[in-house]
Amino acid sequence: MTDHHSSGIPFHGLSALQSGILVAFTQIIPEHQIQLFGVLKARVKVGVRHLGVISLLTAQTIPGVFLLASNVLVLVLGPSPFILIQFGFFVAWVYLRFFKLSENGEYRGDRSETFAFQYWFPPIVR
Amino acid sequence: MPPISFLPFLQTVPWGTRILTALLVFASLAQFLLASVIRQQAPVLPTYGHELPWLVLVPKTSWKFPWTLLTAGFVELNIFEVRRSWSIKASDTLQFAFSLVTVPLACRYLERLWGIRELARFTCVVIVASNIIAFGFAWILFIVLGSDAVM
Repeated sequence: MTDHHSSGIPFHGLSALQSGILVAFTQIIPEHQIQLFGVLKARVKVGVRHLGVISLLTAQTIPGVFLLASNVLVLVLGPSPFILIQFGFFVAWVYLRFFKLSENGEYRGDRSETFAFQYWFPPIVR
Repeated sequence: MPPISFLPFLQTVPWGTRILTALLVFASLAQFLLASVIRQQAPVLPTYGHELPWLVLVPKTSWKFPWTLLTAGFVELNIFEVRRSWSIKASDTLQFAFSLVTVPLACRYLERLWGIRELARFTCVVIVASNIIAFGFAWILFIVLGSDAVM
């Protein structure tokens, strides 16, 4: 086989699964609480009494930040593994919402209102 | 602060997560070792990352190897002697470390919640489908832009 003149990096890595994990966590935890997993284990309850900026933080902020970081990284370091984050987010959301078998195997998907696509955007845009 | 002992922590890790982490480490190590071997023996030096078109997803040639849709998801490129810009080296090593820490922790929680079959199915669906989309995306970009840089 001739040598490759291409300079791009092939697609690799678990970035898509990381994004999918964030989507799965967002499905599990309630809507307006952020719990930092791992070492910190701090429970940040967001109330309306707090500053205007903080009261915008919902459970969808963390995957949102991850997506935003991936957009920046794609522009800076090349599309190779970082654009998988976008695709992984979308695929994971579609799978969890429409195709995932529930525990009893009765019905597919999680059609609850809070997991609709519009809830990924802050309340202003909705 | 009580001393953190490693062994009880290992015992609480369920089976699927162990397999997943083992796959990640094994595939990344395989890529690392095999790539350095291929580099020494190849008559023409392949560009960084393209040494194993049967393991990672190279949009130009991986249509011959359909299993790469799944195996590419487990390979984290890590480089130590390749001549490449420092930012890409740093980001790749960081990605490997980040994946190695976050994915097992998160999958441990999800596996207790979903069970091993659902976790395996979720992993495979997300990795394969996003790789398919990325594959098509790279080909579309190649057709539109006409340049080889995205392959």
